[in-house]
Amino acid sequence: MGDQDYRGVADLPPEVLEHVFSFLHPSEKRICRNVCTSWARVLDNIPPTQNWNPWFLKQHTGEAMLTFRHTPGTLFQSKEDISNFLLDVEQRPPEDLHSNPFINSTLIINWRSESEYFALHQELPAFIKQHGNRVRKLLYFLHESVPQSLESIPQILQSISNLHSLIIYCDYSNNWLIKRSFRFPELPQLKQFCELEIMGKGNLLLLKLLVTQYGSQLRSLSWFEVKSDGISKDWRFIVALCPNLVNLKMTHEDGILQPNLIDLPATLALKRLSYKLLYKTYYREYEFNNVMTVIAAPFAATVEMIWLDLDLANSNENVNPTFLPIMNDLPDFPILEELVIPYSLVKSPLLPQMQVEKMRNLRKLMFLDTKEEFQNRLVGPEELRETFELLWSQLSLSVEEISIRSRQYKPKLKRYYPVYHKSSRPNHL
Amino acid sequence: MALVRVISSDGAAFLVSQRLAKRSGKLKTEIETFRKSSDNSEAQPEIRIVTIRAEILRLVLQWLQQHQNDPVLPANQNEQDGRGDAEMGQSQWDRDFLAPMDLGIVMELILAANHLEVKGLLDITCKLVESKITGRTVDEIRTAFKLKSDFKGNEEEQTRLENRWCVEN
Repeated sequence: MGDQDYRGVADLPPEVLEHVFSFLHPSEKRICRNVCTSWARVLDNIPPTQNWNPWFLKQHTGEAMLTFRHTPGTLFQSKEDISNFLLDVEQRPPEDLHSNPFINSTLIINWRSESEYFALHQELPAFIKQHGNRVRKLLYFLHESVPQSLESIPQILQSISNLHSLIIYCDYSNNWLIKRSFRFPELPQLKQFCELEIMGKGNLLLLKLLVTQYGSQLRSLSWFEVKSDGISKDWRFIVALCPNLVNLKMTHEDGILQPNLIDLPATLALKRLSYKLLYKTYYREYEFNNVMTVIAAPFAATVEMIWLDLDLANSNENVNPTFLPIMNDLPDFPILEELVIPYSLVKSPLLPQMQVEKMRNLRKLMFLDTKEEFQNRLVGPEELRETFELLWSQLSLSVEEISIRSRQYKPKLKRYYPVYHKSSRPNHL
Repeated sequence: MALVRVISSDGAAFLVSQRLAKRSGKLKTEIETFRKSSDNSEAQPEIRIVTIRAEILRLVLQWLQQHQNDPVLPANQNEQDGRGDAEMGQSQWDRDFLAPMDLGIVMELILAANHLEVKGLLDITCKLVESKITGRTVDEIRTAFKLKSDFKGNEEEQTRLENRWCVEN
C-alpha cells in the first residue's frame, strides 16, 4: 500500500468494533450489519440483550418527559426552530459526508399550545419532506390543549418516508379521544416502519387505528393501558393484528390480572417481553408466577428477555407467610437470558421457589427496586453485599451477573446501581 | 517526581510522570513489572511501545494530561454505564481535541487507546466513529470507511431480505 500510515476501520480488532457498535441505536446496528461480512460477524456475536431497544427499557409512562429530556433529537415547536435548523444545515461544511442534521436521527414534535400548532402545522410536513429523509424516529406529543395535533398525524407520517420508530406521548384525560367515530382520512404507506410506542392515557383508539394500518409490519409494540379503556378485552385483537412482533411491552394500570383475558396468541415468536403493573394492591410475588405461567408461557420457547415491573406504589407491605399463594410450575424457558423482576422478591419467602432451574440459559438477573426501597433499605455497601450474597446462596444457577437498579430511570445515578459478576464474587461463600 | 520514559515505535522518547503514565492500564502494568525486575528502585523505567508511532503517542499523552484528575474508569465497566459516561464526560476540550483529526488518525488513536487501556479516550473516539455511522445508508458507510461489500451473491440478498423493514431504499 502506498500510504503506509493510513489505517482504516478494517484494522480495528473485533472487540473494539464491538465497543463502537455498542453506542449505536438498534436500527443503526441493523444497517451496519449489511456493510460487510466482518461487521456482520461482530454484530451477530453481540448478545441479543444488548440489541434490546433502550427506549423500551428506559421509558416508563410517568417519566416520559424525563426520558424525553435525555433523548437527543431535533425539536420542532415554534417558527424559530425551522430557521435555526436551516442555519445549522447551512453552516455544515459541504465535505462533511455525515450530513444528517437530525440529532440521533430523531425528530421531536411538541406543540404545547394552539398558537404553536397554527404557526407551524402547515409548513412543517413540506419542510420535513424536503430535509427529513434521514429521520428514522419520530417522537410526537399530543396535548389535550391542542386537539388538532391528532389530525396532523397522517400528514406528518406521510412526510417521513424512512420512519422506523414512532413514539406518541398522549397527554390528556381519558375521554378525550374515545370518540368511536374518529378516523384518520388516510394513513400513508411506510415501508420501514417497525416500532410503535404509545404512552399516556386514553390512547386505545389511536392504538387501534395505527395497528390496523401497520400491524403486520410491526416488530416492536408498546402501550400503556388504563382500566377505564377496557382494553383487556382487546388484547388478543390488537396483538393478532401484529403477527411479526418480536418485542412487546405492556403497561397495565390498576387491574387484577385476569389470565383468561390476557393470554396472548402462541403464534407470536416473541423475543422480549416487558410487563409493568401499576398501583396494584396484591402480592407482587404471586404476580411473578402468574405472569410467567400465563403471559410468558406461550413464548417460553422463543423468549430471550423478560422484564417484570410489578411493584406497588406503597412498598412497605410484607408477605404474610401464613397466606402464601401456591406457586405453579413454570414452563421451561430454554433460551431466556435476562430476567428483570421486582426487588421485593429478594426478601420474600417465595425466592427459593422461583424455579430458576427452568431457565437454563439465564445469564443476567436484575432486580428492580422502588425508589423508597433504594433509599431506605439499600443504604450501605455492607447491606448490598449481604443482599447479593443472599441471592447467590439461594439461587443455584448459571447466572453470571446480578444487579439492582431503580425503576426510576435516572442516568446520573446509574453508576451507583451495583452489578455483581460471578467472577468477582467473594470466594469464602 | 518519579518519571518514566515512553518510547514510540519510531523511536521518539516522551518523559512523563509515573502518576500520569499509570492512568493507562498497560503502562501501569509495565511500570510495576519493571519495578519487580529491577534491583535499583531509583532507576527510571523505560517502556517501548512498538505498535504506536510518535504522533499518536503524543496525542494519547496529551489527552491523559488533560484528564489527569478525572476518576479512573474500570475497563470492565458495565456497558450501559460506560455509555453514560462517554456521553456526559465529553467536554468541550475533547471536542476541540478530536475536531481536526481525520478518520485515519482517529482509527490509530482508537487502537492506541485500546492497547494502552485508556478507557475514557477509547470511549470518546469510538463515539466519534459511531457518529460517523449514524444516519447513513449502507453505501455511504462503505464510502466513508473505505469498505467493500464482501458478501457472496445471495448472502447479502438474504440479509437484506431479513432486514427489509429497516434498510433504506
